Order: sequence, then C-alpha cells, then structure tokens
Amino acid sequence: MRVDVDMDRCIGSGMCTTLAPELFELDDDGVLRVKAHVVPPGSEEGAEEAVACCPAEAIALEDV
Amino acid sequence: VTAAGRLEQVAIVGGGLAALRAAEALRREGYDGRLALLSDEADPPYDRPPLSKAVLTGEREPDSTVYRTPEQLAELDLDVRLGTAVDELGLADMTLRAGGQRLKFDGLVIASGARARTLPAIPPLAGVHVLRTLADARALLAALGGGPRVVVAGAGFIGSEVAASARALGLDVTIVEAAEAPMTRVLGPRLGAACAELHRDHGTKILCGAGVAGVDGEGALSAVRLTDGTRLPADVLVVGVGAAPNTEWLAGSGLPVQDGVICDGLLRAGHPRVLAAGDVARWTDPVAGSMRSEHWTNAVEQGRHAARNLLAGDGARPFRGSGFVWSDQYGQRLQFVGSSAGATDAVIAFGSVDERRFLAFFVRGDRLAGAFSMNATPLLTRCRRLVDEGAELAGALGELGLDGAARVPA
Repeated sequence: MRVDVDMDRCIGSGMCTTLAPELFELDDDGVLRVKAHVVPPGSEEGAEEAVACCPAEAIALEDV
Repeated sequence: VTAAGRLEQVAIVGGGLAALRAAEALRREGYDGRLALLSDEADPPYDRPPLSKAVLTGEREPDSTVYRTPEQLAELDLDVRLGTAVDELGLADMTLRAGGQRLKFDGLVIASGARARTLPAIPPLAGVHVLRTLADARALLAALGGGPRVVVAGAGFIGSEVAASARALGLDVTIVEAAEAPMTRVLGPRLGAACAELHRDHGTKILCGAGVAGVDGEGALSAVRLTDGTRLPADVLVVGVGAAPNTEWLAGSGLPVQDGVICDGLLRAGHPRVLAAGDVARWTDPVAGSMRSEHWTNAVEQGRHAARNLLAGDGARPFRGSGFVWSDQYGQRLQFVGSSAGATDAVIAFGSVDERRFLAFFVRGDRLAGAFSMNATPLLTRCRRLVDEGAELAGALGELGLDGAARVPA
C-alpha cells in the first residue's frame, strides 16, 4: 500500500501522527511530513485508521 | 453472528459522520449485503466542523462540506434515503418504519445524532439562529451578510467558534455565558479563563455568569434581555447551548434511552445486532463510566467500531475512544485529548498560558486523564498514548522532556 497526503488539504491536526507514528510526523512548526510513502507490513491498520480519522480527509491510501 | 456473510440487510439510521464511517467500515470489512442509510436531512453526509468556522467566514462554500459525491456513495453500494425520518423501530419483527416505508433489517446501527438545544425563554423569531446542520449554516451565513449586531448565547465550542468567525467578519459580537468562563465543561474554570481572554483580545465582548431571560422584537429580533436586566441591542442571536440526542423515534422500541440510547461497552444498545454510534450513543467506558460525546473524532471512532462489532458478533470488542477534540478560534489551535472528568489538578507542562502556547495535563491522583494544548500540536500528539495509558505524571513529563511543571487546581 502507498500513502499520500494532500498538503493543500492538511490542517496539521496531528491526528495521523498519533495513529501511525511510523508513517507520519509533525516538525517543530507543526507541518506534516510523510516519513514513509510505502506502508511497511504491520502498519496497514494504522494507515487505514489515519485515513478515516483525518479531520481534513487529506490522506489517501492505495493498493499498489 | 459469527461471520460477515451471515448478515444480509444492514440499516443505518442517521446521515452524519458516524453513519458514513459505519457504512465505509462495513464495506471495508467485507460486508457485501444490502446496506441502507436513512437520514431525515435533505443534505447527504457533510463535514460539520467547518460550519462554524470557514463557512461562516466565507472561506468555504457551504456545499463544499458535503463528504461524498453521489458517484462516491454509489461505490459503497449504499442505498441513501434522504428526507426520510424514521418513526419507529420494531425489534420483534426487525423492521424500521418511516412514513409509509417499511424496511426489514438484520443488523442496525443507530446514528441518529443530536439536534441543537434551544432556550425556553426564546420563542422562534427572525434573527434567532442555532448552528447544527448545513441548512442552519446557510441561514446564519445569509444573516451575517447584513452586518448585524450579534449576540451568542453559550461559550462552548460552537458558541466560541461562531463568535470568532463573526468577529473575523468585523461584526459587533457579545457572548453571554452562564458559567464563569468559556468551555468550562471540558477545560475547567482556570483554563477556560484563558479562552475568555482570547475573546476579549479580539474585540469580542464576553459576559460570564450571565443568563438570557428573553428577547425583544416585533417580527424580528431587536434585543436580547439578560437575567440581570441588561438589554443588548441585537439583530442576530445564535443559541449555542449544546445538543440533545435524537431518541424520540426509539420511544416504543423497548431500547433503554436516557440522554442518549444506552449502550454497553461494546456499543450494543440492548440487542446483539443493534449498535449505536456518535452523538446519540450513551455508552459505558471502563474508566470514566457512562459517557456521551458530541465530537467529530468520537463519531468516526464509534461509527467504525459499531460496524466492526456488528460484523464480529461474539467476537465484539470493547470501545475505547481517544477523546480527541480540536477547535480553531481567532487563528489559534486548541486541542484536547482524553477527559477532564474527575480531574483534581491541571498542570501546565509546557509553555505559558499568557503567551497562548502551552500544554496542560489534567491529572486524576497522580495519573494523566487528559491533555489540552493551545498552539502546541506536535507536543499534544505525543501525549495521546500517555493519556490512553493513564501514565504517571512524573514519568510522562520525563518522557516528553518537560520539567519544572507548575501544578494548579483544575
């Protein structure tokens, strides 16, 4: 699976970083960074949770 | 129920976020039977948080909050019935009745939401608004366009955000709040006071410990009268005094209802195939006890959890929510995780309330119950797991690299 964030939509809520810290992080200014676009095995659930819980619906997950 | 294949006709009552997420989760988890969503609203599921913020300030069109196009809903193979108010739930024959329609189901998610509370002292009158639905937002947006004097009754999340948005439009705004500070239900009086300062600094008048006694106006609002005799000239009054769960349609069903439909820890509403989610659900949390939440993240978490537990049957798992809440006011980001219920202390763990960049912990005994931040998102997100675990305060401060925290009464 591949994860992408639409930075035009992202509001920096940080929600995804709590659900999948191995995929997402906020820098000190609160700007989101995707640490890994290719979802490693074992992180699929967290990635899917992050998609559902993103208040801006900014995260897309696709099977590759 | 032991497998998803056993269910064949699932119904979801409600058309908000919990309902949408329940539908999405059912499909994602492999449910391939019939799926109907019955909503009494004319609009398809939409995003509520922007209604009091970017929609009112004109940065977003009201219709842009609609979550899914008809094509996207069709991809879920979802039978969406808008404008369909369910009148009755019959558990004996597992049937919903809505006007002349009857719908059989073998699994049900109750996500009928809540509606804005009003004040008995305020009769319906042009200029008097609530903000709950997309239709409410369209009406309020139109009213604010006329440059009115605005009074907001209630300084909870909705009232505070409406006030901030109206000020951003340059309007004259006064908040009337019964408690001693804004958002005290979540923040307690001391941190609530910091939010009162936020309003004042942006030119919003805020009257705390004040009540609305009534309104004046012939055909349209002209003033709001307070219990202490003060008369506030006004063209628009926004009543933001909370929401009441929509449970009337369950009256004859036999399901227990008391300020929400009563659920167990699995979100089951007294029947293994009837679950509830979102604003309408009053569930039992293992730590905090009986709870009902009207927040966005809770609707997501419960909608998904109810869907999974419905499919899981005997394998259903207890619900545990994050208590994640956010608000944007005057360009400031306020966030909360966990709960302040029963907290004995608030600890400023980082930053300064006066500088509007801080993190506060709510502490029960010596353990974390909740965390609140203003403009400190990266730090707050690191607190979620610690709050979930009920971590010890000293250990949490150490893990976050924070010391010198000041403890004050909550």
